[in-house]
Amino acid sequence: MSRISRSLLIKKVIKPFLFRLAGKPGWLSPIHALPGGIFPAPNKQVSLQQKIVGMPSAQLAMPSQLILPLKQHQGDDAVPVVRPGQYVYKRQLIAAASGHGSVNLHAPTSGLITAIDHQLAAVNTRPQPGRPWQQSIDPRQTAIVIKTDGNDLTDPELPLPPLSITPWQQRPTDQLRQAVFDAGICGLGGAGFPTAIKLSASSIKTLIINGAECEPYITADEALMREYADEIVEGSQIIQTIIGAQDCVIGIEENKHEAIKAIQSAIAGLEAANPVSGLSVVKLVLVPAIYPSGGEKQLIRIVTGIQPMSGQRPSDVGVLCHSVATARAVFKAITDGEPLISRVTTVTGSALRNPVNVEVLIGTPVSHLLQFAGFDSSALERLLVGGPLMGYAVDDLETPVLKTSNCLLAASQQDIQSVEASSIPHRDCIRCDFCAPVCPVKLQPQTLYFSSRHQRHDSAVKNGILDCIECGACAAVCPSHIPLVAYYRDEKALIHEEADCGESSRWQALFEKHQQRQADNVVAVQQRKLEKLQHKLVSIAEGENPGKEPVVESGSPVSHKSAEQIKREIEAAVARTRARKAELLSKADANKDGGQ
Amino acid sequence: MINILGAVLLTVALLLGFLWCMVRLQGVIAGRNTLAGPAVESINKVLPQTQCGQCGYAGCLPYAQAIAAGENINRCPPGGTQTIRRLAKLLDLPEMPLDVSHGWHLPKRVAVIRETECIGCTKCIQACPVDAIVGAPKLMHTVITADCTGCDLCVDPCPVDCIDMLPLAVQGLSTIRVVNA
Amino acid sequence: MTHNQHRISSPYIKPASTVSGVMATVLLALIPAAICYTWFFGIGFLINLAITSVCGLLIEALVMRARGRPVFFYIGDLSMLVTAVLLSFALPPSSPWWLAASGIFIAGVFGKHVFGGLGHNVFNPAALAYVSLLVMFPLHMTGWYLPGSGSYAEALIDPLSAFGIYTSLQLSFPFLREMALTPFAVVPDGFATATPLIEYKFAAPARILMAEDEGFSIWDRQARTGWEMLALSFAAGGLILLWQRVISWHIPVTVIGTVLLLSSLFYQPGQEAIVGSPWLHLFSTSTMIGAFFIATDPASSPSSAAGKLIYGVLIGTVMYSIRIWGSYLDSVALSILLVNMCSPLIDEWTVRTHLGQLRVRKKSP
Repeated sequence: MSRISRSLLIKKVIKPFLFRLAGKPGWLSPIHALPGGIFPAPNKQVSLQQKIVGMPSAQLAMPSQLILPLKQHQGDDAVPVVRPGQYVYKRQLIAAASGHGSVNLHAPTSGLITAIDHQLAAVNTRPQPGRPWQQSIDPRQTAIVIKTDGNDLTDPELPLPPLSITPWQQRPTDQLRQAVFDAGICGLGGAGFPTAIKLSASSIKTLIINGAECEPYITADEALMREYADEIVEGSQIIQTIIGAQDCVIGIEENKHEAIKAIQSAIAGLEAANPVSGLSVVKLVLVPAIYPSGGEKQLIRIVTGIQPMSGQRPSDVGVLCHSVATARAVFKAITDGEPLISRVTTVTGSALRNPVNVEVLIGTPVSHLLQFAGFDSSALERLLVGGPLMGYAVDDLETPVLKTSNCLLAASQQDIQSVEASSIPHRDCIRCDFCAPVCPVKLQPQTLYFSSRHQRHDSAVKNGILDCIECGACAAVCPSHIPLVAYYRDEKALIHEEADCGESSRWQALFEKHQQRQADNVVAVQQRKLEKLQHKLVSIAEGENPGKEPVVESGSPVSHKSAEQIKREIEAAVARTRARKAELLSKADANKDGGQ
Repeated sequence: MINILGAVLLTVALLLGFLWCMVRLQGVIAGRNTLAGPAVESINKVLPQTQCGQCGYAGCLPYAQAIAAGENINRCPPGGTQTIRRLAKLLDLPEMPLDVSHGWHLPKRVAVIRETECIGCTKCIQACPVDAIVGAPKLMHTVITADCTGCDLCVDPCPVDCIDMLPLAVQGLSTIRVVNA
Repeated sequence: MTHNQHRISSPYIKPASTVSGVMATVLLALIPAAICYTWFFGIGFLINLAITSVCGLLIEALVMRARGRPVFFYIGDLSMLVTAVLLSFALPPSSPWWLAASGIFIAGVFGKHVFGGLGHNVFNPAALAYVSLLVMFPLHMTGWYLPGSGSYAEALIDPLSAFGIYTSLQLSFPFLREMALTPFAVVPDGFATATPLIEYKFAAPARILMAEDEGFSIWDRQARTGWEMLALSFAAGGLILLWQRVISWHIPVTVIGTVLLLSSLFYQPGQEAIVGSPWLHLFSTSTMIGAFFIATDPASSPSSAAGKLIYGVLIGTVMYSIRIWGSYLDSVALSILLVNMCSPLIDEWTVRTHLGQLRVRKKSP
């Protein structure tokens, strides 16, 4: 059994308090304790043994093709602006943002566009309301495919962007924001929210740069902080300037010692060389190493104590949160004009001989990286994109690395529960309440579990299922091995579905109305016939012929009939019509009852 | 001694009988099942109500009745995996993948009439199971998008083939974009 | 229905504990008490334990078969074993075998499976079985013929000597007596019951304490001091559970604290036999096993921390009240059952608000 620490009082409360008393740097501002949380075995050191490997480089070659989905972010798809067969340069725009919340897409390297409507294989997860780009079965992801030529050429005719000539401090913030938008940057911490939209938030008091990578196995941000601390700190300054935030805080987990040292020296160096007027200097705050203290709302609460209410965004309470990777991407976009074409991804897991952090081009097929890291497919239990607690499993090894893929975990049985073990049915909830104390949002997972199982949407919403961040801490400690997060995701999907388009009940009502209308129509037609005949009877009985007189021609069969005969025939017709009407009415009634 | 043994055995027999009744009536007491089987109405509620007939039955209610009689739960393409999952949960059956011989699960589509080509024959109005098409003989027909279930039944009757099924952009989900037709 | 369809979703991490692991920890925590019990009262406890365990697992297997579930998967969670052990502690060691069998049958069927199995029981199964047996077979349940008991026999028998073991066997399996293998020196011709005189209710346990003043050490294997050692070993087991984080501190602390508080309030020195001192209430009765093992049963106790605190206070109060103003000497099981009935309501009233929850101003009808 793996050991997951639940007893975190020392870490959360006692250590920070003592360190603050002792005046240790990074602990000077008061922090708040994260409610709940767990401490699983980090397994991070394996992938930090060597420096970040670049692509292309002597160690890692470029892949032969790049697959770039049009939607790697939260928001609408980007629309291709290239055609198949076209040659594109590195950094060239290949898909433009269109619609609400869209971001641009650029070519990571030079090559030939071979397709703009390539359908990706289905990702083997269920729809997750918080991450709409991971579709489960349909619709399929559309992607642009570039066949790389290995030359890595940038457009020779492209002018240097103005921001790389003039320092960013002297540029208006609108231009900076536009540059961020043009670079196609979205949140690289995993959520993928378009950064330009976030940067247009107003009245932000505190900017928090999230360097608290709390999930096991993932070390992308930590490696970035070790090697590119200057870029990160300057990127933070840029973001701070754009949004005009008074304070800027970089939050790092306290057990990332080398990264902390690098950031500290970067802050010191940068402040000396590049002071930003009017705004506070960038501060470093250390947070206890607990999962999930790196979640956006969790980190905000730890650092500032502010708790956004249910449904509020952090910008509504004057805080903004960006990942260190996003800060670095902003820096590169502003100072170098480089759009988002690569990211640092951790390639790790016990099925790999050589776990490493890689600065990989967006769109690289996963197989290329796995091969580089010494992949042993016989040891592979699952391939996860992300960490073992919040990642999603992929079946297809040609899945591309997206802008939001912070880790590729080739997990063997050492790292995760085996597929076989997770295929047996789980036990009933024994109501042991191991789960509630570890929830970082102070939810009661038991109640949510029972509400989700029985699809009691009102009870689930009342107990806060929409505030669940799906961190998986509750499922990680459950002795019955209940896949709690899966139940919550299903329930959330159902709730969203009902909220978005609770149409099936409406359609059922329309259909029943349609059936009723049809039945009524037929009955009404018979009724009209009946009335007509009765009218005729009356007029014949009174000896009048108000309406059309039956024109009896000499040769027609009716001429042989007397008025009496005609009357009798009409009465018979009336009787038939009545009977038919009664039959139809009773059939309509029966249908109504049967449908109840 | 014999008396005690007899009394104990009798008690045990009564208790076991009680237990057997409880187990058998479990589903009834939970309100899920009637003694005759799962209520057709609760199955019908789970189905998407598109009334398209792709399952092979004439609408959702006949399919619900068939499911109650033992039909497979994976014949509904508009419902897709979501519906299969809900049916499996409702009826305590194992999930199975969608039987694509009845059709693929596609994102929601609505019918759109190309008005320049419509001849006003009302054939589509008669075909629509939810009366989502507004029109009259020799007058323009149009589809009320909000009421359209995407069932596709109007496309075939149209003699001039002027009805398209177009995807509706659903909030938050990516869809197949239709390039200019 | 426990379907597997959800396993393609995160988290994929190996879970930290299993139900059988938790139950195994509870069993391990009960080992000190089991040793203590056997040391003081003979192998009757072990016989009861064997009967309850075997019958309990059998009953659970039959019920699971009837419910159409995989048998070994459900037996393997070891929860029936825990119930069996707790019930064995509650039964008199001299009780006949069919008492243990009936008890575990009631515990398994009426205490647990009739409600839906593990996690769904409203009452603690062991407590329910004990109280049912108490009502159905009061003589057998309240007559403690203990080998080596100074209260009943003239000569003190070592309960673990050959003769002591033989005596225990004959008590548990009455048909052995009829086989007349060896003359039985001390024949219980009747059962001595606890004197139902309200005023001197605590006379017997009090005498145990007075025995201490007479110079008997707590290690003396005379039933006088067995109870305290037993209570201490249950407390030790409870501390093991707390250390392993199987139970939380809320229920034991509040139960013991409430009993301590109430007994201190009402105690007057010299009235040992009438109201009992706090020490008596905590260590000469079953308060310890109740507080650590029976009241903390997760399915029958409230889930929230605040709920557990209320629950513990209620149990302590009811426990003390029944002892002083009711007719039962040891009220642990009864008080726990009564307060178990309140758990769902306590749960509903102590729903904790989560972070960022919008508070509704109007109270919904």
